[in-house]
Amino acid sequence: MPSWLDRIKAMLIVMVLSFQPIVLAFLCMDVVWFISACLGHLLRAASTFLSGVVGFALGSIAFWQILVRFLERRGSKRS
Amino acid sequence: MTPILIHKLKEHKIVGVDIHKLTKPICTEMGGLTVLLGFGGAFGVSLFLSPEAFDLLPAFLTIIFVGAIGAVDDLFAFRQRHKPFLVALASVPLLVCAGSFVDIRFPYFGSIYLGSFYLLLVPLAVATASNLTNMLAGFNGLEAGMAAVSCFALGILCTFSGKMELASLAFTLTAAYLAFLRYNWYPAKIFPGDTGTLMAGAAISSISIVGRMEVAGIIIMIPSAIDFTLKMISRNPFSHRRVYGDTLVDVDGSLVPPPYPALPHAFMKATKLKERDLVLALLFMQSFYAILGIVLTIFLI
Repeated sequence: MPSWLDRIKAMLIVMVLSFQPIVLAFLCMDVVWFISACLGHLLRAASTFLSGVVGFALGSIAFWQILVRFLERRGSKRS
Repeated sequence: MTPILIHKLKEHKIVGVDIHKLTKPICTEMGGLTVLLGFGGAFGVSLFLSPEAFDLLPAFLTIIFVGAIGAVDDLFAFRQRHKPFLVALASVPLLVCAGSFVDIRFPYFGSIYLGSFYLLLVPLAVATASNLTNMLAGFNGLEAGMAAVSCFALGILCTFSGKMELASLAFTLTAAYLAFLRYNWYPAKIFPGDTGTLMAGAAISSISIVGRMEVAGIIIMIPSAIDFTLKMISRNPFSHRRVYGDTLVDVDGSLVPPPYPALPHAFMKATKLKERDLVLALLFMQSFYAILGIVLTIFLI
């Protein structure tokens, strides 16, 4: 089994990468919030909310892909 | 209450296999019933003793109804697609509380006006939250621990904003989940089942809506939301376990993830982890997001 330090390091890597869905969701919401300023209240709210969901989904894909590639690289360096 | 229930449920053969152990022991299912009874009894009494707590009856009923749906699901196994509709239906009492709400306050964006569409979002929020907490589950102590952390964080936020009755509801739930966690912690004697997991989501969403802390609720749900999204973006999103099988256990007790994306699998891929270490890592992550939710709500909204 890996040491406690290695396990904590791995946990922190996952936690830091888990910010990606939030960051992407926020960015998408921010862009759509400004673009949709000319729309009515409800359309603006709906489009901002939906862009947040799309951003979160894209961020989750990025989270998994980057994690897998990062771990592969780290593994190959070790070997 | 839990030891008595463990005995009774075993007698009625309401049991399941603990697949994350080498010995594959048999454990009692549907343990969330103790949380449901404990919370229902404790807060039910306070409803009679304190007239102020009566304002929270809709939130209380929603949590109890969703818990009851979970209990029926544990006994008769609803179809996966029926569960969200039933949970959304159970959230109808909450509409009484949310009748006058028209906006959600976000940090940075400010108040987003929704008008009467807010009412449409209430059943959607309860159904989504319940199903999210239902999906990030399956490891000893994970569901009860995450529910306790989330309810405690919301209780602290309610205390800060002076909503003491709602805080007492949140802390009653925290106590009920912590009491259950004693028997659900590794090696578990009892599993929460859908009774415990669905009720946790209903509790988080109900407290967030009634306390006007929607953003805090969303932030607290982020680990479960990441897990759900990862499962949905993979192939065969509704039949992972049938297609890929369950998490395997190595001879040294460490967990080997099946080949599809999920939040616990991310931790398992990053390093070798035993079940207890994985649950501690996920609880640490949940605590981090709970603190983030508290900080953002207090300082930015």
